[in-house]
Amino acid sequence: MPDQALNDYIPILLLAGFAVSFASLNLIVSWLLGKRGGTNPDKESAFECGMKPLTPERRRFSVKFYLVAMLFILFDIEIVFLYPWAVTYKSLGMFGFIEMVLFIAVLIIGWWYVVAKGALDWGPRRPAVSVQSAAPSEQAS
Amino acid sequence: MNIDTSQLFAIFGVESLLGLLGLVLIVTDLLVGKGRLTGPATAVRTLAFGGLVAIFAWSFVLEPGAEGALGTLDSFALFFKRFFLATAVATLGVAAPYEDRLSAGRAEFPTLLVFTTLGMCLLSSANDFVTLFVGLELVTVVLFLMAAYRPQLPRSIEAGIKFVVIGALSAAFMVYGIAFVYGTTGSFEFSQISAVINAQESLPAGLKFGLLMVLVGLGFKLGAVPFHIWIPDVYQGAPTPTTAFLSVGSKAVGVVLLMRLVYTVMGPAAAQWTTVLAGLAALTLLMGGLGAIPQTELKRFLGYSGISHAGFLLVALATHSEASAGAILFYVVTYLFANMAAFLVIVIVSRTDDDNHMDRINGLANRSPFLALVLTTSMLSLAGVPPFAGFFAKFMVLRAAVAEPALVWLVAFSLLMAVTSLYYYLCILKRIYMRDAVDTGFLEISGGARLLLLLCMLAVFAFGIYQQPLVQAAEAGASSLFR
Repeated sequence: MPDQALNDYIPILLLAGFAVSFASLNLIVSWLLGKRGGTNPDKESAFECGMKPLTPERRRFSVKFYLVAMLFILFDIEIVFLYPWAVTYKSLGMFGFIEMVLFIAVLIIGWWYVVAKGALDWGPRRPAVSVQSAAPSEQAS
Repeated sequence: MNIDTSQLFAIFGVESLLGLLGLVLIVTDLLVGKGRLTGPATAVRTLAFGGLVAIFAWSFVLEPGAEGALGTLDSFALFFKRFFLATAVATLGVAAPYEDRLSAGRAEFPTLLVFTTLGMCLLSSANDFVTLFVGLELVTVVLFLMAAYRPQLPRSIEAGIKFVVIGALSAAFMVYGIAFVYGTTGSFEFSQISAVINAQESLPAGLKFGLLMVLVGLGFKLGAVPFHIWIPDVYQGAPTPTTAFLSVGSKAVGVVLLMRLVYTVMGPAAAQWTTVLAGLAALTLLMGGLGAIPQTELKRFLGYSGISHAGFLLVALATHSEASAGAILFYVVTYLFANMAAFLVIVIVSRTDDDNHMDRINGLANRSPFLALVLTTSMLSLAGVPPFAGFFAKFMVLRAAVAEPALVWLVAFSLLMAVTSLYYYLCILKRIYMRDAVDTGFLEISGGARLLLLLCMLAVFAFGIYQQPLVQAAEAGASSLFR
């Protein structure tokens, strides 16, 4: 029985084999057919739809984007749980209801924390909680 | 699937209370602190301390026996729940004199500590690979935060990043292994996997591979060589209370899960693993014994010392007998007391977190005889010198191992490494008693810190001289693994 169960993994193995062979095939073909020679500045530059790059490709993002993205994932997961719960709400009964209330209560405390600590304040008056928040200059806020 | 709520609460009572305590701490921070970034540290810390002590006391009322689909509350789980709660209380004690050095997040530190402890308690009850993985992630993700807790220190950030990378790597090994175990046995539950393993004479290759990957993932947590690379850097860079918690808690997490894996999941089939575990133990002992010698940084030094202790724990795991399981439980408790005392002394003698050079303890005997005595006791216990608890812990491990004829070479080797490690512990003592002090400032020891140091020192003494109560508790804890 146990060895039989491994048979289910054969499609994954096939897919892995396909991925490896596809990638190496492309590399080999371009190595065989491509024109080789020296390099020039255009060839070394980052590819941007054939044009010369207009702006430096390493841009810095405000840490707020990461913060918002992280918070988004948190509350996104909440929805992921809410949908199947809503679909099976009747069969879960009281137990499911209480569980979900507890789950949402925990998340609401987290949301309260986020708002109260100013993680969502983007305005100039009060700096958001960020990596810099530990710097002494921002303690007074 | 039918889930019985009252049964769940019987199993995860400690965890539910810890979760509740964590939420109460967050709400306290918000209500009292009114959203200030520095937070009302004293209120939150006091509440966390009171709550943890209350839950610790309550855990002695609990009776082992509840068992369910997601976890089990046997005497082994209960032993480790108490252990983790005690570790958390001690870490709060180590954190109290350190707190002034934090510019932000003082109120969050106890909260995070409570949540990690929740994860650790969950892990001690795990009898299912899903519970195991969820609990492990809870522990490691919170520990990442606690390692990178001082963003203005580059070293703390470095520790956090290294810890994240290694943590992700070990989690990847773990999940990969769990997938293979599930693929070959068709179950996540330890009891069913164990039944499949012991029903056949030779294990299928996929199952062997999966279990080996899980072993690798847990090896990272325990700090076994060759999965120890993160330990010195993370220990050095993380804030000292985090390091103290990491050194005891994270190691104990590795121990709990490895014991479940080897004794419960593998069962009698674990005999096939003796060579693997003994090899790991020998490598770990070698690395821990030699790596600590050139260190000049106190926390790095204790990191390597921790690796050598992981080696002794692995010797006991390789032995695979009921006596050796009891020895492991005894060992981790003595390690807890000796290590916490050492870290608290480091917090007191180091002026800033950047500066934990060994010079700080030079001439400590003249500056503060009390601290010198505590550090001496804890170093001698870690080294395994007779009147202290550490000696008896090593003795129990080796006595169990010597009963196994195949492991005599390992016993001889670990004795050799124990003698080697004595050298570097004595170097610390030399600094305390025979060097002139580099610092001359007054060492401020608060009443709470004094109490904790005294308690740790007494425990190290008491369990070295009168071991019986702890040995009995350890044996009772270990016995439930062998039903």
